[in-house]
Amino acid sequence: MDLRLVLKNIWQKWKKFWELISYIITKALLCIMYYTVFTLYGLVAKLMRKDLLDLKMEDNVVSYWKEKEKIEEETYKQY
Amino acid sequence: MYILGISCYYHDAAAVLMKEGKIVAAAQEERFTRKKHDDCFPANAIKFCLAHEGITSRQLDYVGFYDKPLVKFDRILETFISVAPKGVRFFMLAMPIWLQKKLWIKDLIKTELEYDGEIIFTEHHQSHAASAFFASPFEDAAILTVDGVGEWTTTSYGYGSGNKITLTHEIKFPHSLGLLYSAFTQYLGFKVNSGEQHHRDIAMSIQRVTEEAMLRMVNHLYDETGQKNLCMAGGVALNSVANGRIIRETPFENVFIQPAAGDAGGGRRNNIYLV
Repeated sequence: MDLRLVLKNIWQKWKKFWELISYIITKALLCIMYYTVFTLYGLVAKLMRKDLLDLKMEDNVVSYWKEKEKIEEETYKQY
Repeated sequence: MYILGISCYYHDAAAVLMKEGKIVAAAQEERFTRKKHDDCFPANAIKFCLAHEGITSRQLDYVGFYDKPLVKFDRILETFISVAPKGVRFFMLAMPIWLQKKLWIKDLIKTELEYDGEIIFTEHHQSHAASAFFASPFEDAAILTVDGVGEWTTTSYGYGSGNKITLTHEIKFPHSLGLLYSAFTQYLGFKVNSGEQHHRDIAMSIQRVTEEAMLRMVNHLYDETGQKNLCMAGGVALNSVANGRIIRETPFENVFIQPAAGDAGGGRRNNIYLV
């Protein structure tokens, strides 16, 4: 059997294995982050009655159009 | 002066090249990759545009991107905070793409294009408005942009005069006519932006709601601006049935709708605004 082919095969499997590990670690870290940082932050916001997405329907509202905030156009910036 | 406009990483990736304020080449990535609504970096579309004009990326004066990624990221994070602990599955899907690609779009463009010049980021609805008004035959017009979502804005209106655009009002995410349409599509189990027509009764209902909402918006815009000309852009402005009703049932005398009103026209919008 060609040694080069054997080594190539092992190398491919080795890479696949670590891809799987990195996938699992990434998902686990993101999951932990979501249930700690994001959920806690969200909970505090809810307790403080902050409506981050402006979801509350208000009574006696004539229009839901909001005046656009006047921001100096900075096209070179990503924000 | 050459300006290359790029839109990608949401849906309908595309590129457009302008020379001295005129479009010389434009292409959507899906035409090369044969993947419907392909959202990947439009390398093939850019290659086509540059080859069509016989130039290299080093001859570009500006490259424009169709929105402001960091503002969009802020909206996504705030949405997750608002819905947590729900939404973890989508968070795990979205974050790797944001952290690997979308947050580094500037570097990515420079690397992919081998380009060292300026990269410009225009606000999503501002560029929608520019694409409609500056391409229209009007000197003055009311402008309405309606789509799923840009950074935070989903709908905006204002007016254009000469070479100036002023957007005065907006509706922000999650309140969105375009996303309402998409939500129904997803609820029915179809692919967003593609499969709406398969479930006729519900599609008809949501279509009727869309038409009524559009008519109200346009009538409100007429009352606010008093203009006789109307320019519209954004994905929802491609709803031809609603557009027909706007032409027939609202007081606007002339209506101009940008042909590539959706995000595939993002590069074009961007370029027109920069010019």
